[in-house]
Amino acid sequence: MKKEKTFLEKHPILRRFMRRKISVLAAVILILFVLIAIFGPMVWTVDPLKQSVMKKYGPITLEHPLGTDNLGRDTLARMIHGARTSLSISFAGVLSGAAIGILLGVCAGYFSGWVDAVISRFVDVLLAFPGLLLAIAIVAILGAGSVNTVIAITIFTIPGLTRMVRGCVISLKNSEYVQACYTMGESDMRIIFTHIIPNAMSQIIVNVTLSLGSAILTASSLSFLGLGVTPPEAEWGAMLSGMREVVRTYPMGVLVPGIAITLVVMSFSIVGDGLRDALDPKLKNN
Amino acid sequence: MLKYIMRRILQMIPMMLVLSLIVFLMVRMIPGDPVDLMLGFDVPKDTKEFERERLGLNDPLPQQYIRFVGNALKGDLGTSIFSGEPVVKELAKRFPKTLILAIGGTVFGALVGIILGIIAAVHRNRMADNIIAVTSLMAVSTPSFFLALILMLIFCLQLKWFPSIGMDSWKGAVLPIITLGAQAVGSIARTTRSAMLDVIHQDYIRTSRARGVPEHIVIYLHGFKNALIPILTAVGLRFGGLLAGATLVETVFSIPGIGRFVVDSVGNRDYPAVQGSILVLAFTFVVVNTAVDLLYAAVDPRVKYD
Amino acid sequence: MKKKICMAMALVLTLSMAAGCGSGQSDSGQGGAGSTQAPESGSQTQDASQGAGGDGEYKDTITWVIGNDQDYLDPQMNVSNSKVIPQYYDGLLGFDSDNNIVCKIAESYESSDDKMVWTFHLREDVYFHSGRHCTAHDVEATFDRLLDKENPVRYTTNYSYIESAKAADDYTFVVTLAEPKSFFLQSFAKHQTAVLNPEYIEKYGTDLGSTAESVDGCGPFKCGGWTKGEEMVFERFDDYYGDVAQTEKIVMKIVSEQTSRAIAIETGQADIADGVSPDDAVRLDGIDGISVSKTDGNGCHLFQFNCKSDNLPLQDPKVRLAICYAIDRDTICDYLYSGLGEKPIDSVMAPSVAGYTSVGVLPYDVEKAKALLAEAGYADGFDMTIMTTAVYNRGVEMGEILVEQLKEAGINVTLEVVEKAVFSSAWGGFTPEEFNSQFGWDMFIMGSGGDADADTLLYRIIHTADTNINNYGFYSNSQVDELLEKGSVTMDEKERNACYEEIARILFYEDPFGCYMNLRKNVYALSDKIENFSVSPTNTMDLVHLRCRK
Repeated sequence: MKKEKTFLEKHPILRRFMRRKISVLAAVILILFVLIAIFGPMVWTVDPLKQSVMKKYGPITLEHPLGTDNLGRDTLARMIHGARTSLSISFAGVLSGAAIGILLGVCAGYFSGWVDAVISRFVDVLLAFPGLLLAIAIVAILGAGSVNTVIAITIFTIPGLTRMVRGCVISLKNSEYVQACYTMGESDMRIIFTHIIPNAMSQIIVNVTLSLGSAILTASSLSFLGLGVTPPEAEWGAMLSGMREVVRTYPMGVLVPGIAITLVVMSFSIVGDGLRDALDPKLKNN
Repeated sequence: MLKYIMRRILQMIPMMLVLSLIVFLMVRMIPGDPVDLMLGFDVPKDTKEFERERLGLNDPLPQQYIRFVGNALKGDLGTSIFSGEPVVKELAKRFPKTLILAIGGTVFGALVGIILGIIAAVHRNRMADNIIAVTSLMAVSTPSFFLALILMLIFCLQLKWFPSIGMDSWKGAVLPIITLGAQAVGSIARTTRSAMLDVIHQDYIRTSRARGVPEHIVIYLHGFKNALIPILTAVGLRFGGLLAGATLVETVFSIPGIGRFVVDSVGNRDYPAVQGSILVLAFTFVVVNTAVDLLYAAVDPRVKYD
Repeated sequence: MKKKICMAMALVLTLSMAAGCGSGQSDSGQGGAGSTQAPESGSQTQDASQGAGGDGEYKDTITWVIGNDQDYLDPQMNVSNSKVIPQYYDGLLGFDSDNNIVCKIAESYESSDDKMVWTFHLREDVYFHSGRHCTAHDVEATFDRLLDKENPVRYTTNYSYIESAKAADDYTFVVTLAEPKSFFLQSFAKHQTAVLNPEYIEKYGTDLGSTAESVDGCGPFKCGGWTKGEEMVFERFDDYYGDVAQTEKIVMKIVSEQTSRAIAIETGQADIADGVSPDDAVRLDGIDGISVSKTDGNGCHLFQFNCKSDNLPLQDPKVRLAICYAIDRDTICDYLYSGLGEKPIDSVMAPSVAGYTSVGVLPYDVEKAKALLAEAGYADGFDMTIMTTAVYNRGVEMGEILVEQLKEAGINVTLEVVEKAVFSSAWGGFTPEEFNSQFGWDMFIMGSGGDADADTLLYRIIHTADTNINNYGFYSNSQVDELLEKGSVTMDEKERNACYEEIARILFYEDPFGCYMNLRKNVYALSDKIENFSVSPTNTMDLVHLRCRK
């Protein structure tokens, strides 16, 4: 007991985060899903692609704890593998988008002048494409498939992060602390990597967490429009839209992936908010 | 102030040019040939070649682009390859429907969001606050086509209150607007809540309270009036998202709006139609965002005009 | 009262037409064509006249929800399906709802003894929707457009066997063939030959049929409006020479979501729902007030081979045969189409197609497949790509099952799901090299059918050709070519059927052209208030007699 206290005391961020029960719950849910995505296939070894004619739209049984789908495939196995697909698409897309966004944002904010002008206009243009439309256009060009969905999400994520990081950098650049580094003759690179990025990190983490949730929604919307991952690969959005035709005869078919998507997206939002409060108490309530 | 407005409006011009170039190039990168699609696969190659020539698809890209921009400025977005109608005419038919959905969704989202936000602020950290937070979050986190399906099953099939296809009367617009607006409720409620909390803790509210002004008047009149700026901004910013989100809702409810038109046109490789509709949507989005910025500048003395 | 007289006249006319049709026919060899339909069409008409008496009992407007819109309302260009064109346009001949050839604008017809010259006698009471009186000269203008090799329309090549098509006088039309064709009547009765108004041909050119205004036919309905992707309105044509439609207006609404179409019929927003999913078919049938009509269609799904694939195993007929044996069609039909009652097809054409003989459903035999693969030198299996699309009902699911089933035979399949646009653009007249480098599919989904005759169905798609403009998978087999050529000029029915039976046998058991899957049904969900519903195997609804109680 005492040990734990000291641990939390050492980590004020974690302590602040733990204060809100709902954030903790959401974080637990997310960790659980990530664990399922990583280790699930080893525990539940049923093949998510194995079809069986007699068993389509099967009820809940020991053999198939979440029933079976329209081709008699085990829904639990497909949910587990779907967690893998959905989460990795969302992580891969958002993280690569974030990397590019951070780079562009830092360049724009730090170097200002024409670099800033070019990057800012580029971001403005990307932001001018209303949300999902950008993703649709990108997937239409590249063709459907999980890799292309990742690319669409990457491009989708870039503008928001660039703009945010740029703002952060500009305000940090003018801080006395960074000005002091200048006068001490530190190189640009060093200032960027040792002072500016670490200081902007808290906002970046919050933004990335929130983007992860919306990326899952974007991927599932693309699947609904027939522009998502290629079957027979399991993905939550594709499972949900694939089973919508039988929503009344076999409601479980849409409820299982539907609830999973809602739960995970919600959890990302709650954790994102919780992190915002924890990382930067001044930003609270915003 | 006037100078600032002019500058913001002038800034939109290069932006629209870049935008049109990107849309133009993007659409041409889409694989699949519109002529093949239009004439089908039984038609000989030279007939297709003739058709391509007629549509100007064989000209060099810069020439096609200049023609595109020149015509767009004259209000001519080309002729839809698929329907043979001017794109402007097609858009004129569809845009109002999407606009109704987006505006309706924004208004619905704003009304519900603001009310919930105020309730949440008043009952801060109590049961009501938490319930509102979770439900509005749930609405944003549910894929909208799933939400639409659930609403359709309940309100069209079980209760038979609203039609499930088309938007011929106001009744047909109700469910699509709710589905769309639900996405905006969350963020608007959250903004309202925090704006209200900020305001409630300010001195003049405390003074009013101390003077014995009834609590609900304090909250609704004084508090809300001053919390309006950030709330309006949040509402304005959601509008663009709903404009795009309409695509899914239009598909589920079979509403021939611009969003579904874009998806269909992408499928048909109808270059002029895709170009024209994305351009119009993006333009609307830019205009609304600029308007929100200007509104913000007009009411918030802290924003500088340079 | 006036209506009643009209209906009675229509009855007499129909009966006389049915009798007249075929009376002058020196050709009686055509499979089941002609006069046998008189009793049925008579009874339908009687039924109709009773209905029209009870004013106010029936709805003025029937709503029909459907998933896809039409491409062109031009009979010479339309490839969408045969659901709409025959409602607006009539030709000299046509098909009834059992695929029998019936007279339409022609009152009777006869052929020369050598079957080279066909003479059609036209009715004198035929009008276009625009009011123009229809004569043989209009038919000639129509054929001038259809047969113009300089400015071909989509179906020009299908009628290249016609040497000349001319009006002899106002009501006589003469068609001369280059050589006698066994399938002439079948091909001539297709709606591609429907009569167009020459003024409209002149005025609209290639834009004919692209808008509601540019539609002018002699069919039972006028086009009362067409908003693409939204709805199309069929308006009764009161001056129609045959039975006048019983319902004033039929609205075809485009509802792309299958679920939404089902809800529309359940809530009464629609009276007819087209394209019901197999799972919904069962459920809807169980609902009070809704019935589901499932009639035999003449189309089938198949996965065609790219016989010139640069993926070498596919070039070997033994490998293709192995793939066919490795697919369990019964299971696939059970899986996906049991709700519609669809079964595996037992030939390369549907039983309703002239020239059909069953060669049996190809059995499911993995051991045989493996043995064939070993014989071909691919005992360890190989990799291949299969393309599918959701354009076909359950096409994607079918692809998913194929992936699993071919795994058993050691074949590792990558599934590629494409959009309609990519699918359509693949058959643009490519050479094998072009096709392989641009698309690279080893197998691809296809629909086959819509024709009532074996020749018009098969020749185009399996006769050796340089490009894939019609022969999509570059199939080539000299024996099949010879049989096709023989079949097209053999007039003796028995001998001719033997040709097609042999072709079917080769395509099934020796040198496969594709894996033939399910024989499709025409499925509609109907409100119980709908009366006189009937649909032909080619999926054309009889909208004329259709009506709906209030």
